[in-house]
Amino acid sequence: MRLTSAFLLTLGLFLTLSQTDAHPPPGKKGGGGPPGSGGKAASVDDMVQRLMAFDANKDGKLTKEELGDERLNALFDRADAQKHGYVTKDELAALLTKEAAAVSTGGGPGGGGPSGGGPPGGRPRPQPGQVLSSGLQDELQLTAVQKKELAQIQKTVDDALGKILTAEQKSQLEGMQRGPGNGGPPPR
Amino acid sequence: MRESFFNRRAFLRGGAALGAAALWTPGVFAEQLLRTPSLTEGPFYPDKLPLDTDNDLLVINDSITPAVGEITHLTGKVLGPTGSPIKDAVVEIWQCDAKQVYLHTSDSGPKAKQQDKNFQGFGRFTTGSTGEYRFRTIKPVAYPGRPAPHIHVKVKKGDRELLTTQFMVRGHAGNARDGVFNGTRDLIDRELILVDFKPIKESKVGELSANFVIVLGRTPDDRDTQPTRTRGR
Ligand SMILES: [Fe+2]
Repeated sequence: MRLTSAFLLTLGLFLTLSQTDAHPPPGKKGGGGPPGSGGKAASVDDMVQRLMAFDANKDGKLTKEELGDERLNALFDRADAQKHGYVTKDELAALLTKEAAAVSTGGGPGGGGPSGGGPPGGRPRPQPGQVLSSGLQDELQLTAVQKKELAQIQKTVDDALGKILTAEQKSQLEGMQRGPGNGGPPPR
Repeated sequence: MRESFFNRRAFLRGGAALGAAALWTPGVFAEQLLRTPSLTEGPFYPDKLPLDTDNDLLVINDSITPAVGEITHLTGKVLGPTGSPIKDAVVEIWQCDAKQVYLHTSDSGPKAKQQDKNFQGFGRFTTGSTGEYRFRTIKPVAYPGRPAPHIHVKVKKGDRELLTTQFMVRGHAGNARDGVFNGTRDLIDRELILVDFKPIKESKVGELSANFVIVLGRTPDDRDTQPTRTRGR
């Protein structure tokens, strides 16, 4: 499907309105909605489309000026391997495919600890001591009030747990929470 | 801090020294800017705010002993989704000190001996009409459990919390092993939370500059009320 810029604008508005209570993105379920800057693993096509939307004159060549966002200059430079001063859809796709592959292979050494980890993009494993994971919260569609109360409960649990664990045990626990395939960030 | 490239008083006044580093090129063809992803607040937002909450985290009140660490001049802008600057936004940052200790009773309590008592750990800045903010702080360091050095950021306006996130050091090897960074599955989002820490050429003591642009998902005034835990400023 080819997105027109009018649709993109509507999409942007929709995303903005629907993300009032933006929680840590990992594991957030898309629910069939359009791709956005959410946390689930975006497909290369989605990402290319989001960037090519800035190709204002629709000549298939995206320049830094059209992009107009210094935050993306590094990405632009990596994609513009030939140093033309512009990037094409194919160049972006090539770069993002390469980088996405690097991400899904675990993203580096270290980690340690049990690496149970769900499927990529799936619901993150609950962290030890976490009452309800963010993915689960989304799935249960907790209301804002419920989330607030849940946060209170979580705080009680964290405080209580914090009191009985030594600093070493805490960092040990953190180490276990990491690991390849684990979509959820440690609670920090 | 006589040797510092930037005069402290001028800095606190919000002197123009850093203006050039924070230049922003708004998209010529008004598309929506990519919004800064929200990331976990973590457990160390200060439970008791320090007495000094200004934008110079290197010096507490009028202490003559500065914090340990690589001096970093952090600048940036708070923008709405179309690039319009957000005025009166309160930008808060917090991070652990060079000895890996956060200013929080559950961290600086047990680690009192390890802590750098001269690091402010938390700071605030209220944006003006340009949406710009500035801090003087240290380059973040990794700590056990978080291989990616990072600075936590919260943006508020009035009694509303608009964004909680954190940013990391571009090119740092620890990023690839970091749970929060890896939890950001979208490659474009990753770009939005990576910041260059560049040496300031004019500085004789190796100071760094860093620029973190914050794009909010919607303009604060349309947002549903979401009371923050700490009222006012
Ligand atoms: Fe942290």
